[in-house]
Amino acid sequence: MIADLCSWPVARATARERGLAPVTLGIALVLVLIGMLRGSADTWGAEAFSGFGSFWFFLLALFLGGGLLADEVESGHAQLVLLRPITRAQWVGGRLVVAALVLCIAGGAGWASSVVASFMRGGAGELAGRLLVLPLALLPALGWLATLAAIGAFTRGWTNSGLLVAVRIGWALAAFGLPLAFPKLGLQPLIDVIGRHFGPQDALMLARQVQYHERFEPSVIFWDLAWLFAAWVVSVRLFNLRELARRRA
Amino acid sequence: MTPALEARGLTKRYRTPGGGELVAVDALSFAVQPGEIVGVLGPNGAGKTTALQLCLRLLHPDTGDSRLFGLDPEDLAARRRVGYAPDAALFPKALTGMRVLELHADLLGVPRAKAASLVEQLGFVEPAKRQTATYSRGQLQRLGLAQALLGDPDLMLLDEPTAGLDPAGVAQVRELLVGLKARGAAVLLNSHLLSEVERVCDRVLFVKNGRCLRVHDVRAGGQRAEVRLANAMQMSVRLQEKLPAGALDGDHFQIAVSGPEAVPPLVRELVDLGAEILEVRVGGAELEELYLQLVEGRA
Repeated sequence: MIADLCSWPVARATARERGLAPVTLGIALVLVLIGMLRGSADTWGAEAFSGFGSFWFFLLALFLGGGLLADEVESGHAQLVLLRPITRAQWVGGRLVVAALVLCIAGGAGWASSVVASFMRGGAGELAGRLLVLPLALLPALGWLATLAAIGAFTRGWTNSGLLVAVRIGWALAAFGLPLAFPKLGLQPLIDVIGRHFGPQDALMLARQVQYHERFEPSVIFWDLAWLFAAWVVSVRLFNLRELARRRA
Repeated sequence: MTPALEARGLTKRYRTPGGGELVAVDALSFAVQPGEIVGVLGPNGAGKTTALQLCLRLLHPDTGDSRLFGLDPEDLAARRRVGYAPDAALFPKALTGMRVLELHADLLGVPRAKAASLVEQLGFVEPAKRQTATYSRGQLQRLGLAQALLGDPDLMLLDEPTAGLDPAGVAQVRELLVGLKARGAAVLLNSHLLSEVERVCDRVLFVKNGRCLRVHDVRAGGQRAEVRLANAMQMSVRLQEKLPAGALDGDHFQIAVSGPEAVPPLVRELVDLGAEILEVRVGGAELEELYLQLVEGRA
């Protein structure tokens, strides 16, 4: 079943290419440092994914997903690999799964350093909340990574990362600016509804709900999971339509 | 017998920046049988590489279809039996040659030791340890050949395999082609080296502007009979049916023959079919002469 979705030889090659890249290792180190420096007695492990840390974590997702499919197609190597007895779905799966694993490992390192720092500085208890932080922080990041793969299935080079950044900035400006510019139109409720469906949603507040024994609302988790798998399926479907060879000059 | 490769009316058009249309490959049909080496000759931009890529479904044809061993080119069973060596460097620059070969061995499910033995066979041991970013054109070419040979393919498609190779490398490619043919593999070879094509190929397709101008049978001794007919128009369907290896060009019917001794039976056959013969010529068809005549349009 898993072998139908993911080619392990492709995954191994992608791990060497993306996982051991200096940029990946560098950002992972930054996440660890952020976790270490910001972890305190009253923090609960989310420091590598919030505030300054969220910027670096999203940057890592952008790097891992940027040109994830297009780079291989444009270098021409995908032609040779996809002439082997593997399906395009397995190839996309092999590359995406490894990018996701690297993101999880780097995020996990940031989380672990934050938790360790918290315990070393006298933090204790709230184990359930601390443990929940990691999957809840990873889930939307994986959704964005799959989105990058879906966009990259039909775009060139690192355009997918550029497009995603542009759309997110554009949306943030619109969500902030439109209600201010047109107060009489009452756009805020509409923007709130769109915002709740604009890509994967931040699920970290669920950890807080557990930590403070608030009412647990898991709908965000289901939304993020649905987004992740939908983006994966879309990336495979779109990539199936792509020509692997380029027109020669 | 099922052809190893069959192209049926493959056509590929591109839009040009000026809003026009470029027909890269135009209704191209041909077949390559097991144990046969077929060459593709044509000037730069004739559509040779595009034709290969269409056959393998690396490009989607606008019309037409191709089959590998009677199967769809995307069929994994067909792909397991195919090797493709492209004309340009297509390897991740950060990987060593050996890593590239090991990846392809894993994808094919063949032991990695096979990669090591191929590297040795192709005289590539030292460069295989280095990153492909450091390779010369010839070294990339050898790596391309090695990855194409990894699965002991029954069909090999080679795009300018001797470009950038030294004379020893060219000889090695020739030996390799002969070896493939000897074990019953089919080969489609794009090359500019007429002498090499003439030495190893059984048939040659002359391609220009994406169209196949002629299929030349090299094994026929490189000679052709040219028969001028008074009733060429009426004969065209019958000739196509009874002598499909020939081609009618205006009022000239041309067909490859093994030598002058094959001409009288041919004439008898044509007369029996109802042809009114005005003139018969038998000429040597050196590949270069044919190439210049067909592709460059020189008399």
